[in-house]
Amino acid sequence: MRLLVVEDDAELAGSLRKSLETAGFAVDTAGNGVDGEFLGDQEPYDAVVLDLGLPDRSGLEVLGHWRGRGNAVPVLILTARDAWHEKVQGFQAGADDYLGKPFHVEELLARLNALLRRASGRAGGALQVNGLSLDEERQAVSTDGGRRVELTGTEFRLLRYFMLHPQSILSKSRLSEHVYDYDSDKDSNVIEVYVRRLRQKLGESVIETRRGQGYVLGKPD
Amino acid sequence: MRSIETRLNLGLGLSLILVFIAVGVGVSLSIRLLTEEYVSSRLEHDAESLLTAISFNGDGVHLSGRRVNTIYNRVYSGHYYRVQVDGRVIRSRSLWDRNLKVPAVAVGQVRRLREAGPQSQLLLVRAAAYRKAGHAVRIAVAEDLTPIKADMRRFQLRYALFSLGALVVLLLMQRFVLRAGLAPLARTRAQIGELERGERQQLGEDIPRELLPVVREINRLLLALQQRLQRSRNALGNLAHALKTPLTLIGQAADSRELDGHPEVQRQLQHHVEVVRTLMERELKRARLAGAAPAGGQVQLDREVQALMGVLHRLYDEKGLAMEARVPEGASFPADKEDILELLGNLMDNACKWARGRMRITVALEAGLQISVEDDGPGRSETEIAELTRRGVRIDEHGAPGHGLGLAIVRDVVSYYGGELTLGRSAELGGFRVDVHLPLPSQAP
Repeated sequence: MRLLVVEDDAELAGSLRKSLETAGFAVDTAGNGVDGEFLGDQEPYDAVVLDLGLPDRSGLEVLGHWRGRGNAVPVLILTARDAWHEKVQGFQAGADDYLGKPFHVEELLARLNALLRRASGRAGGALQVNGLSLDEERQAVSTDGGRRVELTGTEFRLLRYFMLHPQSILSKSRLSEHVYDYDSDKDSNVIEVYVRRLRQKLGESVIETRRGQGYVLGKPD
Repeated sequence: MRSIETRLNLGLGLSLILVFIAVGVGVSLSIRLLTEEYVSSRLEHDAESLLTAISFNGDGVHLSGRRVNTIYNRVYSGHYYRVQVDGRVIRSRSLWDRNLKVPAVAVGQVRRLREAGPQSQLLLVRAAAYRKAGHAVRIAVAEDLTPIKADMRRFQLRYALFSLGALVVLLLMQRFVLRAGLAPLARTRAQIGELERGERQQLGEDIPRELLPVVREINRLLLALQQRLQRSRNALGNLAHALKTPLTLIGQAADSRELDGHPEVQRQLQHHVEVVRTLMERELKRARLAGAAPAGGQVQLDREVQALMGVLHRLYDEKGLAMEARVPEGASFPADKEDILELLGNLMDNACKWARGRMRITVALEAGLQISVEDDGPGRSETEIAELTRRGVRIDEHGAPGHGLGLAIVRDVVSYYGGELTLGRSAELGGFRVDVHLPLPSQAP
């Protein structure tokens, strides 16, 4: 899962990036509205954390522009401006969730996870596909037989993306776009390595290869 | 103070009455003077005729009747004379048995006076003394003024009636002119009503020059009020933004792994961050409130409630609440939109937070604005409600998260608008129920 954090306070942006990366997200940051809007249009983010009080271009404008161009990326507004009329404006501009500052990282993570799940059309609770149950907090997965498998950061991010898009053919480039941040070396061959590791941990049949197309998690029911 | 119209009508009415009376008196006096002069000149003429008609033969005096107007021969005709020559008196036949009292006059002297005549006539008497053929001749001629008096009274009556008519017409005209002249004032008064109801932001400046400075000043003050509110809201927004980001960082530092070994420090930090956050939220939000002020605008209640429902549906998506809004279509209330959104948002948010499955908001426009928000959550015990209601305690000090801060802000909004807040239990849904009544601005205490 790849996130964009648009926040003008460099310290808060850094701390958010760290917390979110620890939670298993690939994170890009932008320090002003113009850069944020550009990145949001260019990169296929799974969600955006957007401040409203941004230099150069306000968060509401950025959001309005995205929505105007049909960019439906889920947006969580994270702002100090949390009067009710501001919340109404935020949602009317197309926000999906709203969190006032100051906030606890746990609450932000819970809301982001709910947002991502909602965006992929899933109900709440632990993410479960084909007998696999993902523990997002501990970055581990349980199998059918109740076996518990610990995952590294990249493995976790990859598996979560698969589990949020079950029965879909996911190309290597798409996977790398959603698993790595902007500054990483997006060598799609690395995806092969991580898919192989997941198969080693969870069994060969868990991820199917479609030659020339990509990978699929879970067989159609 | 009496209305300008009454004062002007009274002033004009009184001065017109004075003018008409003065003119009436002046005209009457002049007419009387003129007629007396006219009568008197006729009397002089008659006296001269009498003087010519007198002749002396021997020791006798003779008055030739042919040379005297016949009116002096008809009894009590109103025209009389009395001629006295050396102790002999000749009276006109018209005097019959009456005499004419004549004051003593020296030769060459003329006197004029009024005297009661026969048959209650009022006579103007002209007495003069001449010398003719060595004799002193005193001639008094009199004429009855009564017919002239009657003419005079007729004239005065006609004049009074005409004056009265003119007075009425002039007062009506003044009323019409005043109404037309004061129409802009009535318009301004109506606009002030609209201002109070939030239907307009400024007064119209299409009014007489005399009042323009007042209206301009009011408009300037209204604008200044709006701008000041906007400026202070912006400043508070910036302050909140500037303070909350560092506060977030402090909170995150408190939660960080590095402090895991110091649970006491961690707990204290977290506690103080929470205290600062609560105080800041409360005070900043309170400072942002506009309160009941003129030209605050109209809040479209149905639209705003719908917007808030949209927000809450998103925020409480996972709870799958059934939210119900009973708002009359097109309902609006004169108040600041941000204030009302803050009031409704906090009430509805609290209800959603505590609701198990249902939240309901009911809005009615009865003697102001009536809002009630109910949920099917646990509610509050009777004792808690009684205490909150009786003492009007600052609810945030009671430490109940969720209902606390939100209700405190609701209480602020309600008190800024001179309204009433009632807490209780929802009869239908079983949970907490909050009733808010805001009076219309013109009825606010």
